[in-house]
Amino acid sequence: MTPLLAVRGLTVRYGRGGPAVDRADLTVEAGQIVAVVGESGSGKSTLAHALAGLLPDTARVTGGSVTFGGERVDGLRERAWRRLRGRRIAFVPQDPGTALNPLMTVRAQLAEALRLTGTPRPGQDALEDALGRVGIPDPAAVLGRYPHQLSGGFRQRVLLGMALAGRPALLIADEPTSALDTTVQKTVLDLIQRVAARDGTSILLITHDLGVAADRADRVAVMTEGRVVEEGPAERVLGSPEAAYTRLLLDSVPRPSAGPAPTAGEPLLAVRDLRKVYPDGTVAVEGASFTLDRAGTLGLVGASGSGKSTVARVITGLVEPTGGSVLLDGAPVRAGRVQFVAQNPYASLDPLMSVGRIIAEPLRALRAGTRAGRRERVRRLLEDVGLPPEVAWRRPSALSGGQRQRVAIARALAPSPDLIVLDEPVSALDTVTQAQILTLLRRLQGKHGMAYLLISHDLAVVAAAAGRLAVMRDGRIVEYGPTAEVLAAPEAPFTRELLAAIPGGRVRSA
Amino acid sequence: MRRRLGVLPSALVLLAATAAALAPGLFSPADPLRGDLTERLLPPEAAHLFGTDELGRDVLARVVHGSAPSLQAAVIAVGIAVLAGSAIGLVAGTARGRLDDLVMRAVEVLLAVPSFLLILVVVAVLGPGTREVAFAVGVSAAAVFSRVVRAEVIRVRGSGYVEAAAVCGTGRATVLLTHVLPNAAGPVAALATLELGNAVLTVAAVSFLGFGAPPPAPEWGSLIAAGRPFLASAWWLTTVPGLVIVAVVLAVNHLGNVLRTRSETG
Repeated sequence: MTPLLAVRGLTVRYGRGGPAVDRADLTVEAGQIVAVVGESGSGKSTLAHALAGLLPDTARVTGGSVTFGGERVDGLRERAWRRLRGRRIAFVPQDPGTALNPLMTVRAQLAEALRLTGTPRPGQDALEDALGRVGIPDPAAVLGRYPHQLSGGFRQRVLLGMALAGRPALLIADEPTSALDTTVQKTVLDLIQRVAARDGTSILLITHDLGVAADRADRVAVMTEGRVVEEGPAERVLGSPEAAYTRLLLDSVPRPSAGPAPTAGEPLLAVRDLRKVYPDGTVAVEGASFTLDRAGTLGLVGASGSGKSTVARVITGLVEPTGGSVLLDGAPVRAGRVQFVAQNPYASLDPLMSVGRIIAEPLRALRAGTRAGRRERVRRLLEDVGLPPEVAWRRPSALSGGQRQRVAIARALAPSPDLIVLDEPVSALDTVTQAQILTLLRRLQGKHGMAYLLISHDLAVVAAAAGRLAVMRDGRIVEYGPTAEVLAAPEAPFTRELLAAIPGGRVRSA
Repeated sequence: MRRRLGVLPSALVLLAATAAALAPGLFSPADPLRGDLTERLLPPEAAHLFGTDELGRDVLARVVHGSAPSLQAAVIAVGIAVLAGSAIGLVAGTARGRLDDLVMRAVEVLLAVPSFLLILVVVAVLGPGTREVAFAVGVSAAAVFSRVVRAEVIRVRGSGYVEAAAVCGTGRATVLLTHVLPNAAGPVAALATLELGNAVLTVAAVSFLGFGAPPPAPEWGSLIAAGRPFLASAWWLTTVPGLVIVAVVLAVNHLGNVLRTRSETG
């Protein structure tokens, strides 16, 4: 039997540069789920776009062949692609926030998708059915809404509904859940899997998350630097990986720290009955209390909107609390004692400043040391975070995401703070970079002895780094205790939900 | 890449205009104020490239010597607009709340009044003269700058690095000067070049109406006005300074557009 999709030696280049996809081979049988795993820049998205006929004008296919349903499809013209796309091949893009037209209702966009699949005037039943199939409980109500009135998970479901409306033979999903919280990610992936099983749709799942691939795929292809370095059944690739890069990916998956529960040390930070109500009446934090020991790490976990970022902003002094107290060593926080590393390393560094100036900023603010002294300190900080000294003269735009986050960490370290608040420090980074940054944070804590408040929506990341854990939901702390105990016997239902949503149980237990 | 087209000619036009303003003697040795009455209203010829006017003065000399006051007024006007507009925008964007509302409503009133009317009112109060015209044009353009600067300040203030600076303990004034202003400057620079072309045109228009430098001092706008009675018999008196104004404004606008596209695409 010929496979549904066969890619042989596919090579794609942008402009005159080296190949973005280099002699890639990939096979998808009917009804199979195949995952393509790789870092950003590995060429996996380019591969996905090439297979859907969606390459930008700047990209060219310079070699190889793509066969779909027994016919060559590489080199098809746009008109022929349009007949194929939507009916036989469907595509779900990465970011549900921008993939829907904000000015059109769900009804109008879904009707457009259905028209493309050959239903000239889709009726109410057809529209409701398309949404019902992707698990939307009240299709009639959702049809009349605009995208901004829907949550991220619902937007992704609408996109899926549009993609699956024509009952395609192949669904290409490019990082369908990387913009979503772990719990929402689980429901969306469950849905994709269920629909595929019901309709016999093959799925090509593009992801950077090895755990997602391990949970959902029949076969896994691992990509790096444009090449497929390993391909095979999921159990084989993840159980006994052959390529060095696959092993590196597997080792980078965060695992709960196995160490003994931290002994109660000298308390450093005490947060009591913290409350924050924003001027518009939103209650962001409602009576949060916790303590953090000197040189300890407390993980704060919650979905987006749970109030965890507000806690970070209150502790760092960016936001005034409505009620409650934040005490460091029993006194209000003094300047420089608490530092902050933000989620997005692309936004947190001034693009016009040199790295050296950025790192020295807290020192200048505290008027610490002479100019030469500060320069020497910057050099040592760069060494601490594993960056070469000449980086001090570069601008942030010349650095990768991981390097930028190292710069942000060096800046936070500069005034030798007692506490660093890390707000989603690794969620914008690839798995391998993520593991490197977490290792760096551990090493720095061992060397300098500051405490961390680690905030994340990803329980796996927090469990790998924090001795104690606090779980937040709707502004309240619903669970609080040593990490090992919380993981072993979660009390709150929400914690159990979070635990169940962590992808890649198979990988992590390995 | 397509935008590159015309950059070189535009730059050459501006270079020539600036050189004429700084060293008029290089372009025309003739005296712009003294004419020979026997050589009245001569059409363009070898001795007088742009012809002569009704008093026998060399038009080329008058255009060249007129570029200094004309361009000076435009540059001063844009300088006033950038400085005043940035200050207002910075204050409004930083303070927000009541003060912001108050300042921005005042700016909107300023925008609602037709700018030419506003300029004429200011010149009527201050009296005619190159510096007065420059001031009037600057005031009328400041409103646009204040809006752009305010929007940029609000954007930059919400960025991650300004937040990071606040956690570092950097003072508010230092944050404004080292982070907010430099990062807000790009669009302001692009707008300033666009506004420069506009200012050249407005200054010429005001001086055409007779509010510029008093005669016999040459100025592009007043040259056109002076040539108007002879439109039928001596076309060069109005056409030459008119073409010069068009060339300079087009060149400045084109370079401004290139700059703006650059700053938008980053």
